[in-house]
Amino acid sequence: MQLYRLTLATLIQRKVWVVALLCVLVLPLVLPYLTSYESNPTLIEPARAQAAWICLWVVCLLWLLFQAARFGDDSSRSGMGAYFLSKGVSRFSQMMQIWLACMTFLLPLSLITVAVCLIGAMPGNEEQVGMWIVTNFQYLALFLLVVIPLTLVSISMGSRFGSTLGYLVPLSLSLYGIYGVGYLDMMTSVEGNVMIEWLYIVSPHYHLADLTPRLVFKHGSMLGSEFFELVAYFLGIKLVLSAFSTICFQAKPTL
Amino acid sequence: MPSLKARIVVGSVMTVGLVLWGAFAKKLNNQGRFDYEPNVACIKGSPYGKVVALAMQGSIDFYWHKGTTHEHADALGEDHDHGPGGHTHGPGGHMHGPGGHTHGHGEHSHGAGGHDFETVDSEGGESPKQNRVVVEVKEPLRVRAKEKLRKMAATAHRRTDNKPLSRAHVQYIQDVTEDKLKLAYELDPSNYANYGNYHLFIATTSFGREAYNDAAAVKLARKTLNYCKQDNIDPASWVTAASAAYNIIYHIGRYHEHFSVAEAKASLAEFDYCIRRYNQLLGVAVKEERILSEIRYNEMSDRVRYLSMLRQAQGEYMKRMMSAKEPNKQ
Repeated sequence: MQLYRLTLATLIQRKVWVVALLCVLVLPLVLPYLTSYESNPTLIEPARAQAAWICLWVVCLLWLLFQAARFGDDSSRSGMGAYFLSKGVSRFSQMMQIWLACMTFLLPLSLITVAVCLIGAMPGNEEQVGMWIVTNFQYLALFLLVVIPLTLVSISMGSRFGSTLGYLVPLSLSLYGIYGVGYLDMMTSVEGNVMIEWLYIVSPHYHLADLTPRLVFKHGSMLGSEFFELVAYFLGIKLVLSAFSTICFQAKPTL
Repeated sequence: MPSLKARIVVGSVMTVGLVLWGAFAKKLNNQGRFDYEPNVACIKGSPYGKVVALAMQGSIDFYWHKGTTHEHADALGEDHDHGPGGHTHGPGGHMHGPGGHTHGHGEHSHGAGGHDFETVDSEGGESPKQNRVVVEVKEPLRVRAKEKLRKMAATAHRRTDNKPLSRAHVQYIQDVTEDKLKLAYELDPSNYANYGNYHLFIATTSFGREAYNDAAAVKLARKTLNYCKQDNIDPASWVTAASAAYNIIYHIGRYHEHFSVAEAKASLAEFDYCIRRYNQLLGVAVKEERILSEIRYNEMSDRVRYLSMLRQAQGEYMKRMMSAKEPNKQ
């Protein structure tokens, strides 16, 4: 686990994690006061939950994926990957150790977000409390199922194609999955093109993992069966992206 | 090179993933769960949406006045254009008089903020006019510097070409304004200025992208009414609800041949309920000191008073229209 410790130490040394931590911890406490809460105090809690999850998405997509791509790139180009290969650490193991270091930051940040929602935005109505807790954990599960494989893709693409592509491709994929497919949907309804319809269906529908509206508009938790269908769907995408990353990752540059 | 065993494992994982992805993508698509409208950061309809919707008023105003604003005109001491049909500065948003059958801008009255296009300052604060500084008095340097900057900003937008814009250009500006109004409405459907203005653009031919569409306008009114009725805290939402309820009353009055007496009565009762609820919530808000701005309080009161007057007149009109068919239709 030397590479894991080295990657983690580098991440800590870069200190940007402090900004990430402050974003997910402080912004959800501050941003709700930008709303017209004086005239309607009940706006504070949903606004806090919304800020907490949106900040987490932003931090993960902008910072975590970038760090992952950079570590993949550094490991391959600096010769560190080749060094660890010579020490008997396999290619796959190297990728997983870098990924684990990134997860060591992702998991606490995600748990802080859930804690902010559970402590700072819990509904007053006792009947809604249970649903609120379940919704937050459902959201956490779907969120991790989306971000975890994307981090892996960042690392592997960073190692093979450099940090720029390693960062931009998963970032674009995630933004496309969250917002882009919605616009594609509008296009399919206007054009009626079979190819576009198929592209729409096989696109990763990451917007399904964004449960922020359920929290903001208090829709309640997802039905168990429907939730597990989403889990299976994202698990499928995760397996494909993980297998792709395993193939794509390189420990030393191929000349 | 990876061993054969590793290749088989990766290949299997990839296959299982593809099967799961494909099967559930098909299933979810068949269930219609892929359908959604992108809502960036869930801002539309959220508490932040309310703030952004207010901030958008300036941008809408800028387009409405063809690239200038009230503040610019005030700073330059100009008499600014108020659009076709003149305008009145009464409260109540755009309203159609009882039994009226035209959709001219002359019937479009305006926000209490002295605005031909409703601009609401729900956060309170003083209006720009009240902020204006008389420069003859020796003011502190920062105040004079601020005034100077404001004038410079106004001169940057001063119109020197007095030729009227081409019809296509005016249409383009109206299209952009309608798009902005739609976005502002979606950000906060309970904002009475956003609703009133967007409804005006749909219900009239003089403004917006297309000719008037009463069916779409009443659909918007019903949607807004249902949305606002869910708010049990903010009286402002019930002003919007009353405004939407009045638009429905007007629609029923206009097309009374398609509606029963019971529907007409229900629409009037709905309006009265909105006003009652507004008064209740306003009482609570005042008691809990949640109404921080006097301007906002007066604006809401003026709107409600104006809407109530229109409702009275429309009620009389509907009574006359409906009395003819009451014996056989009710």
